[in-house]
Formats: sequence, structure tokens, C-alpha cells
Amino acid sequence: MASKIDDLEEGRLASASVKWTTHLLSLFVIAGLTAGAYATMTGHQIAYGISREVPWGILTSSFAFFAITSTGLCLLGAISHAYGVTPLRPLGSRAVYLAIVTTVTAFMLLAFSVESPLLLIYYNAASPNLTSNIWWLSTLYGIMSGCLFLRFAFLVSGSQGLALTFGIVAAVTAVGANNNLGGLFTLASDPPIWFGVQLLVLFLASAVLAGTATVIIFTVVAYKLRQQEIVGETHKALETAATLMALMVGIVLVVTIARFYSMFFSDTPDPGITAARALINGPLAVNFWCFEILTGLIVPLALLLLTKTKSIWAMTLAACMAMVGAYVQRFDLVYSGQIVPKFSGWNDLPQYLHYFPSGAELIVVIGAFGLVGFGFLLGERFVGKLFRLY
Amino acid sequence: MKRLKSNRDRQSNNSRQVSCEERRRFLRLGLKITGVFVGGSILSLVSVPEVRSELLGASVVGTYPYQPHYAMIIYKDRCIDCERCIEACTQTNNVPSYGSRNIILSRKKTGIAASKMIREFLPALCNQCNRPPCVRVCPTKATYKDKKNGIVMMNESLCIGCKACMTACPYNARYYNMEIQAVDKCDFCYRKRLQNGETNTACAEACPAGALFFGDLSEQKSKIYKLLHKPEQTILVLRPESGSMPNVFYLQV
Repeated sequence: MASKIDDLEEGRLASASVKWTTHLLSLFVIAGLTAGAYATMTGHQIAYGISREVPWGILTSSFAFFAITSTGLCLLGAISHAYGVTPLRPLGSRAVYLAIVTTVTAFMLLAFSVESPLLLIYYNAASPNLTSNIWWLSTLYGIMSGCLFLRFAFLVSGSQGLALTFGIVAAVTAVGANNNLGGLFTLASDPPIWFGVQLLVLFLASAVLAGTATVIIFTVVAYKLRQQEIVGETHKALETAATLMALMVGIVLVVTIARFYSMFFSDTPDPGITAARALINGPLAVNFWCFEILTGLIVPLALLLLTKTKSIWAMTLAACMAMVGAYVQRFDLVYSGQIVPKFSGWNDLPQYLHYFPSGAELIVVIGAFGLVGFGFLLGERFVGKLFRLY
Repeated sequence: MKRLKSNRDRQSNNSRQVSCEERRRFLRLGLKITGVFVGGSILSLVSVPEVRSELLGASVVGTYPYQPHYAMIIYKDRCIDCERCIEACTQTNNVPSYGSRNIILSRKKTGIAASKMIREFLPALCNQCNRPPCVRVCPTKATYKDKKNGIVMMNESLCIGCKACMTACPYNARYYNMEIQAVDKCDFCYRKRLQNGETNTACAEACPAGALFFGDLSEQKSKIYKLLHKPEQTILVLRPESGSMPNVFYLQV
């Protein structure tokens, strides 16, 4: 293992195009931070498209997207390093690094989703409510990110034993955090569209799905940047990751069908059914059928099965499509839980409440994606050789 | 003395079969359940499976664990939508123009003559639930159920503005107050009136139609307790399917 961090620098990536892309992405991050800071100072109700009836918008759903992805990456890193799934080992270090990047991005979005982010840090410790899913998820993601940082530091310094220990702790806390993120929706019965403990399976499978898709995309991009062909162990590792992704796509598809089946054929109270109809044939139908189901699940599964998870381009395309589907799924998850008015039938309220993200919200989201790209490029350039050591 | 004796005799005779008290209690419970069941169908703002409403409805009446146990009765047919309750609340509790602690819901319904549509009004506010979903989800205990009087209170200094309580509340009774940088809600005027010795809320006092009635349910001699426990009374609650056990009751006259 590398004794000095300088030894890990990938000199090949110090090209002008990589530098310019990094600068461009850093501008996205600055724009996102500026928009978030503006919203925090002026008030979310002014800067964001949210309202009293729909208080959670695209920032909450983007937070869920990056947090769930970081859980998947953390688990992937742990199973490849700690649990002896040797074919995945070439992807392990990159998965750990990307887990850190996505967790930091998730925290950035969380900070701009709450009105007083500094109070969140202070009162999370000073006045904890142990029945609150938000308390558990922010605490567990905090512990997870700390463990991931330590794990990465020990990977860099070559202390494998300590890296493994922190990797296992990070994986356990990641599962807990992910469950609580799911619990935020699945334990809230109003409206009951997401109600049901079995949905936690969906959240865990979604996490592994997003984790494998992310690591496939970024590994392929990393090799493209180095103008290197993917062969040997890395190719096999990607094949294994793609197989795992196909399995997770299958599980998510089955659970999604089962969820709607049980919702329409059981005694689910009316607001839940109305919210489910918003997805099936209401204002979220395009999101649900075109993006969640077709782009996010069916086409990726078909691509992976038809190519028997051997083709790099097919698995990259499938991973990109699955991530697009996953992003829309998180948005629908958050919005569909608030879309039915609480006093439906009164005050001439519409059947469904309207929400559309404001410019400030969209800039923060672009900044979040910019941060992931920026972090990825920095990692590839400055510690890039670490991802070849495993 | 003689009269007392005869009463006791009558009681002992009854106790061989079913005591008069027991019969009355049974009848009262039956009426209560039926009342709430009907209410569940009418007032739950969504159509709910009937059995579910009945069970949840039955459990909301008769559970008063606090001392005093503040509650409000709203006469369903008395509200005239004058909005004086909203005005009084705004002035008393410094509610900003973009927010509200209480609202008046309205909808068209068929009048006595089937062809005539009339407007129905329904005041709504925080239901100070016995099982408040907002309290469970708050990460910092900024919102809590007062252990003494059962009012769902806010500790504004602890609020981080995550708005989880707003999404969890079944009654849309909360809003984010940008001036105090915290979520704000009805506290039955506890801070502005009750803790200063007053016995009524601003909204109930301002209502010219006497549609709102505030009181203490832990006191069995109180008017509110008697109103709520009249055997013939139909009692309704908003959204019984949420299982939050509200303390705002609607009376069908």
C-alpha cells in the first residue's frame, strides 16, 4: 500500500480537459451553495416552491437519492473488502470514496432542506428525540460518514485491519440509517401510500441497486479518462456488480408490483389510494410509468439479461437509466406522500396539490450533482492510484 | 331514611340481574359509539372503511389522562364563517398574515330541499391529539405533549425547521413562522391567556354564534364534560382513521 499520499496521484489525469471540467463543476457547486445560502437567509417559503401543504420538495427527495446511494456504495465497499466477495474487490476502494462524496452531497442537501441547519447539528446532540426517524437517520449517517472518512484514511495509509473494522461499522450504521430514511415514510400513516414495514426491503434493495449502478458508471468513466481498456479482474468485477444490479432491479420491480397490488386489493384508507392513483393515472403517471418503471427498471433489466451482464456499454447504459429512474422514484416518493390535500372535499381544494421546484431549488440540485462530479474528478486525480490497489 | 332504604332495596334487586347503573353505562357507550361511527362517515374528510371509523372513534371519547384535560367542542351547525375566531387568534398570538393557527373549512351540501345547495362551515384547529404524530417525528423535541395539561406545545428555540411535524399532522394545523424561525401552532392560547389565569381561548370568546366551547374534561362537573357525555349526543371527530385521538370534538345538533 502507498506510504505517501503523493504516490497515489494519477499524473495522467492532470490534463487540460480534466482540469477545465473540474473547474466547471466547481462553479456548479459554488452556484448551488449560493442558492442554498440565499434560501436559508430569505426563508424557504420565499425561495423554494414549497408551501404549507407541500413542505418537502425536490431538495428532500435529492437528499434521499444521495443518502440511499451512499448506503449502497458503503455496503458494496464492505462486502467487497470485509466479507470476502473477492470478484468485487477491484471496485471496493472506489465505492468507499464515492460513498464519502455522496454522503457529503446528501448532507449539503439536508442542510438546505431544513430552515436552521446549524441548530440541527447542535440540538441533534443536545435534545434528541429517540422516536424520530429524522434524528436516527441524521445521527447514523453522521456516524457512517465519520467511519467512511476513517476507513478511507486507513486505506490510504495502508492499515488494512483498521480500514476493515471501520468499514464494517460504517456498513452496519448505513443499513440503520437507510432503514430510518425509509421509516420516515413507511411509519407515517398520513397518507398511507408508503405505510408498511415491508417497504424497508424496497429501500435496502434500492440502495444496493443505486450503489452498484454508481460504481459501474464511475469506474467506466474513470477508465475512459485514463484512455484505458477495461480488462481482466476489473471487467469481472463490473460483471459481478452488473449481476448484483440485475438482481436488485428484479427485487425492486417485484416489491413495486406487490406494493400497488396490496394497496388496491386491501382495505387501504382512501388518501393512500388517491395518492397511489396519482402515480398510476394522475399527475405523476409519466414519472411513474416512463421513468420509474420503464427507464429505471424494465429497460435496464432487459439490457442486462440480453447481454448476460458481459457488455460494458450495456451495463453502463443500464446503470445510467437505473439512476435516472431512481432519482425520479425518490421525487415521487416524497411528493406522492403530500399530494393529497388533508381536507380533501373542503374549501374547493383540488384533488391533487401542485408542487414545482423553484429556480433556487434546481440550482441547489445542480450544485449537488456538480459536487459529486467534482469530488469524483478530484479523487481520480489525486488518489487515483489507490483505486487500483485492493 | 325510609327513602334511602327503598333506594338501596331497589339497587340490590337490580344487582341480581343487571344494575341500573350498568344498563345506563352500556346505553351511553352504545350511543357514543354510534354517534362517532356516524361522525366518522360524515366528518372524516375522506371515506373510511366503516368498521375502522367505529373502532377508532369509540376509543377517542372517554380517555382524559391529563389534569386539567383541555378540550374543545365545536357545534357543527353554528359556524357562520364570520372569521372572528381567526381574527381573535391572529391578534392574541401575533400570527403573521401568511400563516394561520385556525381555519374555517367550507363546502357545498344539499339543503333540506334536495334541489337547494347550501354552504357548510367547519372551524378547524390543532386537535391537541392524545397520540400526536407530530410529536413522534420531531427530531429535537421542539414539539411536545405537555405532561400536565396535554396541550401539544412548541419550544421554538429547539425547532430546526425540518417541517416533519407539518407533514405528519393530519389536520394541516401547523405553519412555518419566518419571524420566530420556528413552526407555529395553536396551543389553546395557553401562553397568552390560560397560564395568566384566563379560562377561555381567544377564538371561543370571540365567536358570536357560540360555535366554539372550551373547557376541562378532567372535571366531571364541567359543562364541556356534560355536553360530551350526554347519552343522546352525536359526537364527531375529524379524520378518525389517523388514530391520533383528537381532543377537539364536533357536536351534531
